[in-house]
Order: sequence, then structure tokens, then C-alpha cells
Amino acid sequence: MSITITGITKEFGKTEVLKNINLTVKEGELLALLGPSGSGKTTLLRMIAGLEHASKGDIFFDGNNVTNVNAKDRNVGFVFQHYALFSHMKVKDNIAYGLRVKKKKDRPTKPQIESKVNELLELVKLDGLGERYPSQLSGGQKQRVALARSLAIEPSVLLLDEPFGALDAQVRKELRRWLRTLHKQTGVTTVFVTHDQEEALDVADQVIVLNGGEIIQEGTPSHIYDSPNSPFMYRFLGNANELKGTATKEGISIGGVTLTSEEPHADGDNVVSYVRPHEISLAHTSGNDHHLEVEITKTHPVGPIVFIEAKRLDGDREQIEIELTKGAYDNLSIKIGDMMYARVERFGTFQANEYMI
Amino acid sequence: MKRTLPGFPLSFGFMMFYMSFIVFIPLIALVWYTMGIGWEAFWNAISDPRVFAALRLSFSASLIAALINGVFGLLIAWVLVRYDFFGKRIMDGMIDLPFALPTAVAGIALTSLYAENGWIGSLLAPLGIQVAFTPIGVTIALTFIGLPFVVRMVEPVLRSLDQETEEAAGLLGASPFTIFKTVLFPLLTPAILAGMTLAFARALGEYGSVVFIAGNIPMQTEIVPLLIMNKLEQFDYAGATAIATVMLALSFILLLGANILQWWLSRNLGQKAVDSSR
Repeated sequence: MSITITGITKEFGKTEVLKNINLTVKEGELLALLGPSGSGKTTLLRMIAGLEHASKGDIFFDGNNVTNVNAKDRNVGFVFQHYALFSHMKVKDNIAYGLRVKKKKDRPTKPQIESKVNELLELVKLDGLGERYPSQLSGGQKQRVALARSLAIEPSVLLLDEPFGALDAQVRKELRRWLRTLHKQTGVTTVFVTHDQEEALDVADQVIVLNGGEIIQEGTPSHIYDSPNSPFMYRFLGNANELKGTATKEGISIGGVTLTSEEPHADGDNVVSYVRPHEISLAHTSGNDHHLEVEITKTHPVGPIVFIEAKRLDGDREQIEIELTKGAYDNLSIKIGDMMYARVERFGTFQANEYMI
Repeated sequence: MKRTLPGFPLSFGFMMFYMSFIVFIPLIALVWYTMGIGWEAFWNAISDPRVFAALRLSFSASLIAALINGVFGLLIAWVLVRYDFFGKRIMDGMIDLPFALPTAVAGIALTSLYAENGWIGSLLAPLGIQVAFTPIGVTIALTFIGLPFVVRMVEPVLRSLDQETEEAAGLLGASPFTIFKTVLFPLLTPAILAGMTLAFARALGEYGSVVFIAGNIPMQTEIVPLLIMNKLEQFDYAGATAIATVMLALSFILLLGANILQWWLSRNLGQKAVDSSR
């Protein structure tokens, strides 16, 4: 089932938590709502579920306006960050809950419910744990019970609110891959909320980034990662070096070095360029390209990656961060105090007045 | 896990010592004294139909009062926890008043209200309902003094319940009533029962607030504590202790039963809501 949201605005008292949101989730899509805390992503998800009501705007499921439809009649599956399992019921009763509370005429028979529960237990890989109570399960298992419970009613859309937020890193990674497979198997239109950019980029077909109640950027994970459209996106998707400079006819001038840029900026504008640490390469000798001259101040190898801090020798002598693979680092035999040439391979430039925070 | 504080032998020893002085020894003394009067005197004291009627009234009125408090205590706790309204703090503070008030004061107030010429009594009289000096009056007094127990037992549990659990049930298609019946009530049952047990126990031993409104008509509105007081006033210590012993035995059996029920329920209803959000 597709979800369309038009002009959704939400105010809690005087604060606007969502400002005129428009978006579409296609049938069968796995969409991530990504944003820092307070960006309004959870509120938006709860609105789709019917747990919150919009101050303005409409929500459509397959073209039907559901804005005023009660949460219990929307037939959505919802998974909470803290599981929200019924602690006084066994796992199998948790899963069967949605089927048992159906009106008599729609309710499956007892054997039907039982076989559905077993089917779901198998789907979430918890066969044989049906007789346990939630308190006897690990966090990852609890979340899978919650997922099975929400799938039992064969929801038209599945909504997950930071589903892996309470789990430890290892389990989280495993579960999100598994969620992807599960999504392929069931094909249910799925929206999940996360503040973890890695998780969003790893799992989703489409990512929508929210900040301050507004959509900042939307697109496929690779589009989002390759072409961040604002300084916020650069900061949010991982750390990036900020290089202040000015726009010239040739490109962007940073500390006397000119980087060619296709982005149009008016001559003489103050600009900020964002460069990701792993999109900088180092060399001992100057090549044909424009290089920033740097002095290596710190190296810190972590497994396959070496984190390097270097001080620019031009202008304000700012620190920049560089990430090299262990192999590249060893080949260059870098030592602290070395003078080197840093070549910027990719960057994004924005007007300095767009500069946020 | 390493134990904190004194450890089992010391804390258990202290518990036994304390319980002995405060609870066991006085009760054993009571039983001991009763045994001293001999079977015949014991039987004579308790086989009196007045005693039997009083026991029946005490236990039934206490039970009804506990049930009423179970229902309305839950309701009050619900409103106090779930809603915000003007004067909520004051309301919350007033819940404990029946604890703080000297019971005789409560008894006098209730009697003057429910007597035929009292504010409420005069309204009920034309309908043919008499409250003061009837078992209904006794039940009202016992309800009054038992209310705080249920409210105070249910409040913290209700507060600790995760709203998301209810939302989850709603999203699965459950109506508000179904959510209450299948999710909230089972989680609150142990607390409600515990509160009712306390209210019941308190009501059994209540004297001050009841004697005024009861009117103490033999065979009709005499409660057990009153009979015991009557015997003591006539210096019939043997009779008093005999009745007290019967009361003690019955109370113990009932309270033990209530505790076993609670233990069984909380085990069979699974862990508390706190666990689900862990």
C-alpha cells in the first residue's frame, strides 16, 4: 500500500515540530526517516500510525484519506523502540493478540490462529520460544517478537520507530540485515525511523532526512551519500572538514589554492567547502594538481583505517582530518611532523551565509 | 551478585527478633492466655449467638468494603495518575486523610451525616433507606477507612505502566475496553488485590469509626472488636481473649489465602510491566 502525505504540519503548543511535510512512500518500498533527535521523525511516524494527529494536512493510504481514521482501524503494524510487549502474556499470546481481539466475524478459528503464530515464530526465527514470557528473552529476541506481533494482522504498512535503538551494536547490525531480507519476503510497505545514518543507508531503498521539522533531502542511499545538498547533510552523515574560502572565476580559492568547482558561485562570495576525511589523499611530493600543504600532527591506526590529523600551513593553520587505508598509510611511511601535500578529491561547496549552527 | 549490607544471617536474625517482640510474642500470649481458661470456658465464650452474628457482620462488612474500595480505589488512582486537573495535588493529599483522622472523629462525622436527621440521611430516609445503625452504616464506615490502601497500592504500578503497551494493543485493533481488560487490568490485579487485602485487614480490626454509626444493636450491628471491648469492660478477660483468638485465627487464614492468591497471580500473570521495557 502506498502512503502519501500532503502538507502535514504539527504544533505542540507554540512549537512547530513538523512544517508542511510532503512525501510519498511507494507500494512495497522500504523507506528510512533519518534525522537527529528532535527533528520530528518519530512524530511523523506516529502520525502515519494514527497515534498523533496533524494540526494541518492529510495522509492517504492508496489514495484513501485516512487522516481522521482511528489508529485501531488503520491496520498498520507498529514496532516500538522499547518493544512494548505484553509482559503478562507468553510470546505466542503476544503474537496472537491482534488476531484474538478481532470482531467475532473476522476472527480466525483457534487452530488457524495457532498455525499463524507458528508460521510467524518461524519467520522471525524464534521457533520453540512461544511458551516463554518476554522477560525471559534477550533484547533482540523481544524485538523480533514485537515484529511478529505486528505482522500477525497482515498490516498494510509496517512502521518501525528506532527498532534497533535499544540493542547493542552487534545485534543491531544482524537485525537490520535480517529486516531487509524480511522486507523482501513480505513485500509490505515499510517506514522506519532512525537517527543512525549508517543504518538508514544500509537498509533503506529510499531515505528522507529530516531536521527541525523539515525535509532536508530525499533520495536513494547512494544519492544521499554522494551528493549531500547542504552543510547540515555533510555534518550529519559523518564528519567532514570545513574549508573556508572565496569563489573566483576559476573555482574555489582556499588558502591560496584553487579547487576547480562546477558549482556556480558568484565571484568573490565567501564560501565553505566540505571535504570528507577519506576523500583526501596525501603525497610527499607536489603533483600537477592543486594541493594544500599540511604538517602531520597525529596518526591513529584503528584496524584497517588510519586516522590522521594534519595542520594546514596556509592561512589560519586549521586542523584537518584525513582517513587513509592501512595499506596507503604504510606505503607512504608517514611520520609525525612530515610536511605533505593533501589533495582534495571530492568536495561540496556552499555559500558561507548558508553556513549553519 | 555480591550482597550489599549486613547479609542474610544478621538481617534474618534481626527480622526474627523484631517480629517476635512486635508481633509474635503478643499474639502467642493471647493464644496462651486463652488456652489457660480451658475448653469449656472457651466454648461458652464463643458459642454465644451474639458472637457468631458479630463475626459474620465483621467479616462480611469488611469484605464488601474491601470490594467497594477495590473498584473505586482503582478509579481514583486512574484519574489521579492519568489526568491533569486543577487541584490534583490537593485531591492526592486528601486520599490519606482517613489514615490521619482519629477514627472516633470519622465515626462521629459519619454518624451525624447518615443519621435520619443528617445531611445525607435525611435525603435517604424518604426512600426508606436507613444507613445509620444498620449493617449498611458499618460497611460505609469500613469503606471510608480502607480507601487509601487500594489507591496507594495501585498508583505507583499504574504510573510505571508503559503507555506504549496500550498504544501497541490499540494498533493491533483492540478497543479501549479490550485494552483495559486484556492489558491493563491483568497488570494491575496484583496491586489491586494487595490493596484490598490491606483494606480488609484494617476493616476487620476497626473499632472507633464503626461503633458510633453502628448503633451496636445485639445480633444486628455489633462488630467483633466491640464485643471484645464489652467483655473487657465487664472484666471478662477470658471471654475477650477467646473471641480475640477466634478472630485472630480466621484473619490469619484469610490473609494467608489472600497472599497466596496474590503470589500465584503475580507469577501467572508474568513479570511486571517494568520488564517489558527493559
